[in-house]
This record gives sequence, C-alpha cells and structure tokens, in this order.
Amino acid sequence: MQIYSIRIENQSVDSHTISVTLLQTLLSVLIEGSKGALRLRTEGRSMVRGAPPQWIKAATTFSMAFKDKQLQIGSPTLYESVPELFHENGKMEELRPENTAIDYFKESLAAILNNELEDDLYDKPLLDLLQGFHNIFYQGADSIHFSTDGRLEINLKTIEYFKDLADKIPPPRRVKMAGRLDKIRSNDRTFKLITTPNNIIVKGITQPMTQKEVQALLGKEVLISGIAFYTTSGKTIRIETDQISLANAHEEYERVIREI
Amino acid sequence: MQTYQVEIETINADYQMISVPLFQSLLWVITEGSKGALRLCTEGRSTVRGAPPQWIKNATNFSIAFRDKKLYIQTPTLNDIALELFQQSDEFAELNSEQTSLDYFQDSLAAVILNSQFSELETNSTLDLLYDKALLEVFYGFHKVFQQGAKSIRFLNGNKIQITPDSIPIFRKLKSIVPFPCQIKIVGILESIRNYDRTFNLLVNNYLLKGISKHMFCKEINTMIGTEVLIAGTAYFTVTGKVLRIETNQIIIPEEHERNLWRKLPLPISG
Repeated sequence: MQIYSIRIENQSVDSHTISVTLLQTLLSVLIEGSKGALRLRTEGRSMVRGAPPQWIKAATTFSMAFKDKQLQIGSPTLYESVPELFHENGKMEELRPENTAIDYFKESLAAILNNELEDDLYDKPLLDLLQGFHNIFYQGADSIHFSTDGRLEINLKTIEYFKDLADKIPPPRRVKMAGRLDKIRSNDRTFKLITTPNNIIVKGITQPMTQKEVQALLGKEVLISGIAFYTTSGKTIRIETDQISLANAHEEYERVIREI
Repeated sequence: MQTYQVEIETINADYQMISVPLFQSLLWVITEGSKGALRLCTEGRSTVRGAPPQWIKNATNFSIAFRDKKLYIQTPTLNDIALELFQQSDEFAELNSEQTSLDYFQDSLAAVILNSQFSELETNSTLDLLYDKALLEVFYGFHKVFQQGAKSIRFLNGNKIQITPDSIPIFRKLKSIVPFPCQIKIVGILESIRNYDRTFNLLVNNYLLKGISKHMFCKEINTMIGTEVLIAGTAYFTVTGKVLRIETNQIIIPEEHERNLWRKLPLPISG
C-alpha cells in the first residue's frame, strides 16, 4: 500500500473538515482518472462503454483520510491488488507490479501538464474526464496539488488547458495498415503490429477471435483495417480493427503506394 | 451549524483510513436519505424526478472529517440555510427551523427500525408517515456499505440508531409491503395551499391529508380555501395503509351527489 497526499488550497479557515460535494468530485475524477490511465497503458484507450475489467476495479479500490487540508489516499500496488496480472499467462507487460493506479494517474497528469513528448500517456476521453475537476473550484477550492514540488497543480487555468489540448487531438479515421502481427493477448484482445516497411510498433484491439484464428495469424504478415486513434502530435495511439487478414505485407504496401 | 458523529465499525483494523467505496456508499445513503426525509415532511414524498429544490440541496451541503473510526458530519440548521422560508408566516410549518436535515434523516431511520420491532405494524402509530417506499430504497443502500467491509454503523447523536447487516432485511421487507398507489376521488375541506411547492392540506373526517398538485394552483383555488372541494388523483400509502399523500391535477367544487359519494378515506387495494 502506498500513501499519496493531495493538498487542497481553499479559503476556508477550517482545515479539519472538507465539503462533501468537493470531496466527492475530487474522488470521482481521481478514481475514474486512475482507471483510465491504467487502461490506456494496456489497451491504448482510457475508456470504453461498459463496466471496466475487474482487475481495474480492484486496483482503484482506494482508502482515504483527511487532515490539515491534505487528502491522503491509500492505493494498493498492482501486485497487491491483482497478482494474477503478472503471471506468465496473459501477463500485462506494460505494467509494473510495484506501481499503483495513482502512479499511472500522476504520470499521465505530468505528461499533460508538462507538455512532455509522451503524449501517448493520455487521450481525449482522459482529458475530457480531467475537465471534471472544474466542479471543485465551484465548491470553494482554489487549487489542488498532486505533488509537493508544484509540478502537478490543478486550478481553473489548467482546466482551460485540458480543453485546448483535447481540441488539438486529430479526429479518428479509417485506415489500412500492413505488417507483422507480433502479439495478441486473449484477455483484452489487444495486439501489436510491426508495420511494414518502417518497423513501428502499433497497438490495436481486435474483434473477438477464436484461438484457431489467432494461431493462424500470429507472427504472420497481415493486413488490418479499422479506425485509427491519434495523440496530440498525430502518432497512432491504437487501431480498433474490424478485420485482420493474412497478406503479403510488402506487396500490399507497394500496391497501396502505387494506388496513391 | 451542528456536528454529528457516526461510528463505523469495520473488519479493517486501520483507525485513520477509511475505504473509499465504503465511504462513498455511506455518504450516498446519508445525503440522499436526508434530502428524502426533508422532502417527505413537506411534500409527503421523498423523491420526485428532477433536481430537488435549492433549499434542500443547501440543507444537505455537509462537511466531514474522519478520525478514529468516526465520521464527523457538520451540517447547517434549516435556519442557517433558508431563513427567508421560515420567516414567511409559517411557510414550512411541518419543519422545525432549529433542526438539521440529519435530524430528519435520523428520525425517519429510527421510525423504520422501531416499526420493525413490533410483530404487527401498529395502525394507530404515526411512525410510518416518516418514510415511504423511495426512502426505504435509499436506506436499503446500507447493504453496499456492508459489502465494503463495514460491520455496523452507529449514529451517536439523537436516537443512537445502530444499523447492522441484520437491518437490511427490514428495509427489504417493508419495501415489499408498501401498498400500490391507486386512483381515488375524495371530498373534504381545503384547509390550506402552498404555492411554493404546490402542496395542500385537505380535512376529511377530522383527518388531515396531505396533497400535491401536478400543476401550479390557478387563482380560483385561493377562493376555495375553507370550502368543500372534490379531489381526483392518485393516493399513495404508508406500510400500514394510511394515506401518505394524494397527487392530483383536479381540485373542483363537488356536485351535491358527489359530496355524499366520496367522503370516505381511501384505502389501498389489497393484493
């Protein structure tokens, strides 16, 4: 269990109690944001319709205390909450067992606030969710600090920044991509494609597939078609495919280039 | 401003931290239950579609602290949040402005627990007027608190009510025996109307019924105060079959034959 301090600056002289509405808003963004940050690491998308997987719920089951304008959040490490994530079968290589969901949330927040190049640590739904912090400022808070060094401060100006950044993300579009299908993980249907000809690793999510279909495609040259989603800088963050078929990736590439 | 203490006994040995899902489930019951209990006192219904009136939101604007397994809840009195409502010539005569929404919440919760202690629900008791089906549904939300590791919740002020996993079947059972609403007509004396929330009081055979109009009162209704009127609408009942409220869209002067026909207090249709 790791303990994180979140400092809430407000005009209230009472440092021992906190408004329930403010606290509920803060917790809601923190919990949903942590779920989103975790999911983004594994699936390349922070949100999808429906309930999140059980392991994400377990990893974001926090405890809390409030003292001297500091909200203390206890978060289990991923290994404590879901050790099976790190078993060989279906292992989530993108995650570190000693990290917590809050670590990933703060990492995404840092990437956003500090305009880092790692713009694949957030997506549009996560930026939209973070705009939910604005309700806190109607409840009397002036700023929220997720770190002691001032790097992770949220205030009304930051909310505008989240909105601007979300507006910069290019809209999704339909694509075809050829390459070698490197990996498919059965529990969340994610895959990695090594593109032809430039050997870039692209993350994607397939339609449900049988084990037999997976075996037939794994390690082979394939052509995928689907919807590509992008980061603020225009990198592909994931492809949601509707079709993966065997193909000679080099020939497909040449054919498409000729067509263009 | 009043401070209330709620003792939370959990399976967890940590005295300073509280599980967030447990905390959220408990606060939901307390906040929604307080809103419902207040509204029930004034309108005869704890919940209705749409946002509650602003004064109810203000009355349930709590601040909290947590230490040594106790939740401290600070809440304003009704006077603190809506002084103007209480200054206007008994506008909300049903409420005591010195009390808080949490007082009403605890009264309703205590009424449910007390009612459950009788083998047969006493029909002459007025305790069952303090809760309705929707409020029982909110109280049933305590089951989520116990699913998150709580063993008991004790309200240390007022009635000192203790809720345990054994309380959950009480809420479930009472919910299941609330009679269905039914269409009624009734003649009585229109004692008073309140434009603020469209409620009215009707005197029928020395029994004061609470009602609520679906539309704003028209000017003619004011002229009917103190006279006999015919109300057509839907009656909602308590667990013992008493009328909790009538929801109507028609208040008219009755014909002579209607005066005699619709004088009896409505009873629920037995299943």
